[in-house]
Amino acid sequence: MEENKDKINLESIFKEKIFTVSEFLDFLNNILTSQKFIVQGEIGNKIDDRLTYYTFNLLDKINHNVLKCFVWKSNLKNLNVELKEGMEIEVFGSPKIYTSAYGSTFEFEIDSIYLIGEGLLKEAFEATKRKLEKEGLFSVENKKSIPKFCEKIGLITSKYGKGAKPDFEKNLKNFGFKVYFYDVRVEGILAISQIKDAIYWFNENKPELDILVLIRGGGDWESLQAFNAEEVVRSIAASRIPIICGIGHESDITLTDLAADFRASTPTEVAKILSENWELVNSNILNFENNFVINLKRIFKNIEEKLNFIRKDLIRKINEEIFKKQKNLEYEKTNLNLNFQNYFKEFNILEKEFKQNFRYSFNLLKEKKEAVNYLQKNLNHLVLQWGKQIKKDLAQKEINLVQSSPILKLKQGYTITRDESGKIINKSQKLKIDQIIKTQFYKGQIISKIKKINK
Amino acid sequence: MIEEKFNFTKAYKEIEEINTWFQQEDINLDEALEKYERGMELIKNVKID
Repeated sequence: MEENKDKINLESIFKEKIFTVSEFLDFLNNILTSQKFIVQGEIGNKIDDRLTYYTFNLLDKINHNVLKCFVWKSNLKNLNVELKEGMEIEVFGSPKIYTSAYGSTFEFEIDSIYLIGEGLLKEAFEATKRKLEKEGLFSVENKKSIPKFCEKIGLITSKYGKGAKPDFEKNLKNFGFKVYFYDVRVEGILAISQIKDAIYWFNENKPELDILVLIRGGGDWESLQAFNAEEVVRSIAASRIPIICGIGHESDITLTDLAADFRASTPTEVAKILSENWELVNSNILNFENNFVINLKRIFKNIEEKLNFIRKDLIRKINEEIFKKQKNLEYEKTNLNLNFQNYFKEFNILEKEFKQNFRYSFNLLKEKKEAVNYLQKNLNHLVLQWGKQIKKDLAQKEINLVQSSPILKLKQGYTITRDESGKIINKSQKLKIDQIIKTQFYKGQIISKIKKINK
Repeated sequence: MIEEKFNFTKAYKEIEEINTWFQQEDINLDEALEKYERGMELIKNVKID
């Protein structure tokens, strides 16, 4: 329907519209640039190398026709070889009418260039390899690990390929894989962008995939060039989903092989690799199951043995302990007996000593008591004696005293003479004539005056 | 509670880990029983018909 409508519109435009030159050229360019073509040819002898672009002629060697080409240098940054005269290439792009004040020229504006010819391809291959190697795009440490069990697979290959897709699907065992297919060209200039897009699409829309499988059947070196393209290598390196590649060739290795997280030699091998772990699952699981049971039995056996050993050891240790305790007890008992004996011995000695000391003390006390009694008796006797003696002495003394009493002497007729001061005069030498003296008698006294003194 | 989606790779890896765990010398019985039960449960889930 849409197509018919467009046709009607175009027809009406052609009939009714009168274009200016510019409008017409723009109109043509709109139609031309909306189409993409691949053209193969040889680069002519004049390559116009400008700051940001090249122009050159693409020659048809058989019919000698020329197609003027224009390409921005930025579109060739992944080509990795210099454009040279005589190079056989495929160009991908759109035709365009270049307009200027000096005239309009028809040219082909190139989006990308695809090299043809083994020598050229090898040169580009080596240059790209060196460049990407330096960036670490092939280094092992940058590779993502391939899951052991892949369930969801993103398959990137051509649905038209004779071998790759059928070989892969035929050899992928029936383990319930979910395969998401993305159809791409695997040869020629379009393959590069389509493979790149496929990788990007899976990463963006199916990030849960376990693996991306990039495969193609065998072919000559030239036919594999998409797998040496820098854009494809960079896409593989940038993919978050691991990529396994199986490009059906044996002798030469492509840059895709180097960049992929795992490289298998063919699509069949990829399928086998993805299936083999699943194939081992059942037998492995059975082994694990048996191992678990065996190991658990082993653990129980070990524990039983340990328990038996512990039981035996415990009994032995308990017996040893009892024996040791008994021995200790006997030793303690003997010690105690000895100590008791010693104590008794000491006690006997002490008792004996005590008795001896007691007896000695008792006797001593008795002796002392007797001595005291004796002394007391003696003392009493002496006191009596002394009393009698004293009495007697006193009586004698009394007699003597009585006998020596001046009163008695006075009675007997003796007198006592005193001077005026009352002092007794027993010598006449100190007396003076006319001195008054007093003479006392037993009864009465006289006062005399001295008349004569006989010295 | 949201039941976590069964992941075959994770389950298989756990079974392998349990199998390795059982190879060691000193094993705690309680832990062994736990691991055994867990291993058997995982095995039941990963068995392919």
